Amino acid sequence: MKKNGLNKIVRLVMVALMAMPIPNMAFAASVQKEMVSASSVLNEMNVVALPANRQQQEREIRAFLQNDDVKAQLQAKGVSAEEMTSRLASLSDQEMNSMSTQIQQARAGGDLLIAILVIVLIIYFIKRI
Amino acid sequence: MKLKYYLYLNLASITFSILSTGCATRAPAQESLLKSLSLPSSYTIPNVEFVDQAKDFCGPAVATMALRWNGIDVEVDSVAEKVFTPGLAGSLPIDVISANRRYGMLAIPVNSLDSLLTEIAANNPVIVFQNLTLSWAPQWHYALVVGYNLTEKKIILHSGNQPYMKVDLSDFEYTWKLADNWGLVVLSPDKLSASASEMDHVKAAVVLEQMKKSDDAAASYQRILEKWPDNLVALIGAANSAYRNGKRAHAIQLLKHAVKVHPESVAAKNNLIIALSEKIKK
Repeated sequence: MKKNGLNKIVRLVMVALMAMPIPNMAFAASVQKEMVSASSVLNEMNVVALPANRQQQEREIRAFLQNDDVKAQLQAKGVSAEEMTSRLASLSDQEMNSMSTQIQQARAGGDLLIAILVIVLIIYFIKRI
Repeated sequence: MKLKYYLYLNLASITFSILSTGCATRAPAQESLLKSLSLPSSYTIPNVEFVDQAKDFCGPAVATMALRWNGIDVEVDSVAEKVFTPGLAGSLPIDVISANRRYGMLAIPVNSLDSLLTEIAANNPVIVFQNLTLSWAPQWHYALVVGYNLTEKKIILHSGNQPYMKVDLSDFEYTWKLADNWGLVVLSPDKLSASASEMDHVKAAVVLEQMKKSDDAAASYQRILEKWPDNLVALIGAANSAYRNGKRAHAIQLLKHAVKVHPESVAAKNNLIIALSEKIKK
């Protein structure tokens, strides 16, 4: 939550910097109270490389969350939701993003396994959103 | 059995888009490339402990071997909880990656034969994912590459029930290519991979930080800076770690360097201002 908020602010500052001829002025007006994390810096670097809009992604996943059937399917695969959360918490933002993109491409098939992967994605985002 | 294969097949197409690459051909090793790497013509990493594989447990077995090589004292069963998916009777590549991170290790991709051999020559065993049969009826398998012999054109693997299994290099290349050359080197965070890029190292370190393994991440940032002293992400990460641990002077030193070599970085300036202002307060 805090990280995302911070991310957003950093992004705004970046935009401001690009728009203004004197970067330091824009910067001076918006010093954060907290240290910017290394992961935020990395994500800023990868902004172009990450195709999907994160907010859009989160909205879609929240919508998918309404469907309870998928959770049961995951349990049936023999992995507890708790364990799955730990597994997913260990993925990088980029890995999650590429997974999500691939799932979106494949989702039309209505395959069981795709559904499972989507659940996996959901559980990951439950923790992060 | 058929269902299992079907699931894996789909999984593969999702995770790797293997099937879209169509028919893989048996390409001979690019010997000229190998020569240009200036590696020893034959090398086997000494004393990599072999872990015998129970049924369907190739994923947990190779992950255990890689972790033990890095000095982590683990049992296959506890690794299996993190790697194995009972309903699939197998282990997903992504779970092999995440499991190693959960033990505080860097998980760094190795996706080409020259990178693979470079890692072996640097005493870093490499986990490889293989498809041992056909692209349309895959039989997935994990093995640990521990050596090679270019004179005999062999690759040496801890695989299944067989330690130091010698496989023809061309056969290995074929089965590895069918799994999209998926490979992984597992390293304790105070080490560097022999083949990976600056960015791949940084990514591996940042994930550890996101997992709240701050000390492991800090060790990696520090090691990265020894090789790439101007890396912005590592500078920010190392400075944040120093700052958290009350080493403000060191944090300021790192951030000043970050601002100097990356004058465009808002984060570097921001963090420097915070570190400096805290210093004044004190």
